[in-house]
Amino acid sequence: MKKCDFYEAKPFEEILLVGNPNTGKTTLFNLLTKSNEHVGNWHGVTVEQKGKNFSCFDKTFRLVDLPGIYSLSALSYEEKVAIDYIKAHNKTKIINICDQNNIERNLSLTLGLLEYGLDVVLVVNCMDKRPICKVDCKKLSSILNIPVFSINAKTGDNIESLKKALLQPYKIAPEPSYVQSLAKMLPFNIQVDRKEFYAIKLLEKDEDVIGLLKVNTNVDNVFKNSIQIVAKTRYDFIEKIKSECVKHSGKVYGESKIDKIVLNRFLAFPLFLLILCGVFYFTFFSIGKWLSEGLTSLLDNTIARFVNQISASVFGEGSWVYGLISEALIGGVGTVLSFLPQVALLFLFLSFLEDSGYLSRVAFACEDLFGKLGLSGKSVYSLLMGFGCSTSAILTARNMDDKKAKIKTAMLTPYMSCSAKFPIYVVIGGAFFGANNVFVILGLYILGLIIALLLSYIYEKTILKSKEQSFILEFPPYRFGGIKRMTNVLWDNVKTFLIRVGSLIIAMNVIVWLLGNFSFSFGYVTKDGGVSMLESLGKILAPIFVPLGFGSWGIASALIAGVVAKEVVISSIAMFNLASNMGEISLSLSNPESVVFFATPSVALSFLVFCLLYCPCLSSMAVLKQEIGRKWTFFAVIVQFCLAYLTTLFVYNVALTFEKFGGTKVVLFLLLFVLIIICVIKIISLFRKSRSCRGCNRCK
Amino acid sequence: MLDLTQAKLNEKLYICGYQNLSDKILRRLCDLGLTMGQSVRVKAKSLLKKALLIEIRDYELTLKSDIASGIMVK
Repeated sequence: MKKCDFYEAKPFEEILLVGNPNTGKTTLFNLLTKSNEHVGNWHGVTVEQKGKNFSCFDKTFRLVDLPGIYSLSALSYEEKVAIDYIKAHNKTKIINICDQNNIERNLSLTLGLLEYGLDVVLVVNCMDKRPICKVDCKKLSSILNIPVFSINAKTGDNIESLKKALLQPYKIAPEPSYVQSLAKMLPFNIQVDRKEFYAIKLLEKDEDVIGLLKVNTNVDNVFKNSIQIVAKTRYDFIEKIKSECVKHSGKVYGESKIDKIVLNRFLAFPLFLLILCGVFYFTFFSIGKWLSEGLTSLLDNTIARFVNQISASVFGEGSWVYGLISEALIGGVGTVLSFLPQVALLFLFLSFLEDSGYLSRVAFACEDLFGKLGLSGKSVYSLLMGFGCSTSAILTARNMDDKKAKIKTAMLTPYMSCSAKFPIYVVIGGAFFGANNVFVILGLYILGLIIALLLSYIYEKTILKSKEQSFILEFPPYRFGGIKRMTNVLWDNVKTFLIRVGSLIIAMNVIVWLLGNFSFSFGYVTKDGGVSMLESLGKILAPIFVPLGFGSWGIASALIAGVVAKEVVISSIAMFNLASNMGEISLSLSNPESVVFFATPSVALSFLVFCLLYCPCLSSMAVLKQEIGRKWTFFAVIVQFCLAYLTTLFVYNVALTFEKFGGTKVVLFLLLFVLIIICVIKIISLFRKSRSCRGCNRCK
Repeated sequence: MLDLTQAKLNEKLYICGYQNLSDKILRRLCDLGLTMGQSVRVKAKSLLKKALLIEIRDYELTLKSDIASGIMVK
């Protein structure tokens, strides 16, 4: 994961970007700094501060994008990050961005910033063609005594006037008129800078401020309703502003007619599952598959053939360099590369869902189920993003307001089938299940999800009982990011994938190939004979996997290499089986002479289940360690491996039984088994009842 | 007087008090504009009624029912 460059030297004057969640802070950040940071129509996309330099006429500033906040009192971890940053940089200019369509609620934060005493430039962001509200910025500026600009963070309309305002020297904005009278409500004196602000925060019973000033707010009657009084005073002031500067169309922000179906109590959940199935179908079995096949044949007929011919003529076909190029680069890397269209499509669909505003509705629909499992509806976002990349999805768990729910969500995200795993499903599943692979892959996705939810339930009942989650989530309006945004997302993901393939995957493939083709005495195995280093090491580990049906050194080595990045599992198999594309790998897998060979479909299924569950990749582990600490990461990895082993053992044995006795017999046997269990339970309960009645006479 | 979970769908009601809410949650609700005397409307409930969608100050917000049960309305 790329570490935030905030930790670098900061030679330029800073400007902080502050606002409510989902108001377009990162969109404005991207516009000013010409960056491409992740944005989405969901509250809490930005979970850590990001800093980047930008030029403002002849001066350079450092713009810091902070996670969204509703006030200067934190509820979740990412809010605390933003608030602490603002307080630590209280002599820094602030761009406070407000959503024009929800200006009333957004101004509450603006007043909070003014109460604190900061140099605030207010930006009213209007990204809709037909806005719900129209704001008179001049009037608003004269009431609040701060510069106010209306801009469009997407298109950059009026951005120049904002830039000019940033050049003005630092000047603390005057406090709102109600501040003094409100601060006087505090029944005792406090000796601190920004006295009025801290007085209001004490009246709001802000735990951090109470801890900082070491006062007791439970002794006086003033504090009984002080939170409500402060908020009412603020909102009364906002209503006065609203009556003078805002024209409201009467529409409700976030309201949509589609919600009657999307939020229907009985339709919401099935609709979500249908959309997910649609996304996976289009990605793996329709458009994505055609594009992937096209790319494979293009790569085979152009680059692969050309490079093979050149390397054969330069190094000779028997040389190890030729072997390295044709097996590790053409075969291994080429196989992973052919999945580029599917990976890009999956991320495009996920980003479309994220931009649309639909995920907040899904979170609402899932709250019932997730609440019972000790998660929050908000976890849906992290888990869904886990279908793309676990590493970035783990970070999104930060917007949970309970620490244990955050740990749980972060630990469960790697159980989702990330995009790096599906080349394994497509190649191996395709080889053994043919047209039925669609159900196998769907089953794997569902299995991952079910195990994650069951595990969450177990954690909730045992070691990670979470506090009541607040689950306060605002509904954003439905939006379509636009063709430009979609093209950007597509290009961004293609670029990321190519960089990943060009660096990590190539490096891993070269290492695996070298270990797999050279012996400990550095002899080239293909030419000189002998046993490769990987074979020797793999044979030590292979017995562990014998009960699961795939105890060969090749598979053990591929799984170990896959810990670095899951794509390496399939590229290693391609290298070991000397296959140069998906078709050749599929054929080689059922050939007993291949290094990686699956005797029956049950063994292949067992391998797929193990790959789904066995371990988070290295970068996910690093992010887990950063987010939940070393102890929990270690615990999560151990639990995941043990669970993967046991689940695979179970699936393999069930599949073997099916293979041996046929489907009908197994189903009948299972029914008989269930029947016997029910009978036993009934008999035990009857026996208990008769025992409890002995001599008590109460039943009569 | 009833709590928000008992409100009928789309009925316009006014907040008249709070009960059994922690300071943190009450402060957040107030920040979001759920102040005394403010009009509020319940627009949807989830399948098991554990989450509520409400309309407040011209925008939509979802709340868990245990928080909503701490908001008194009339």
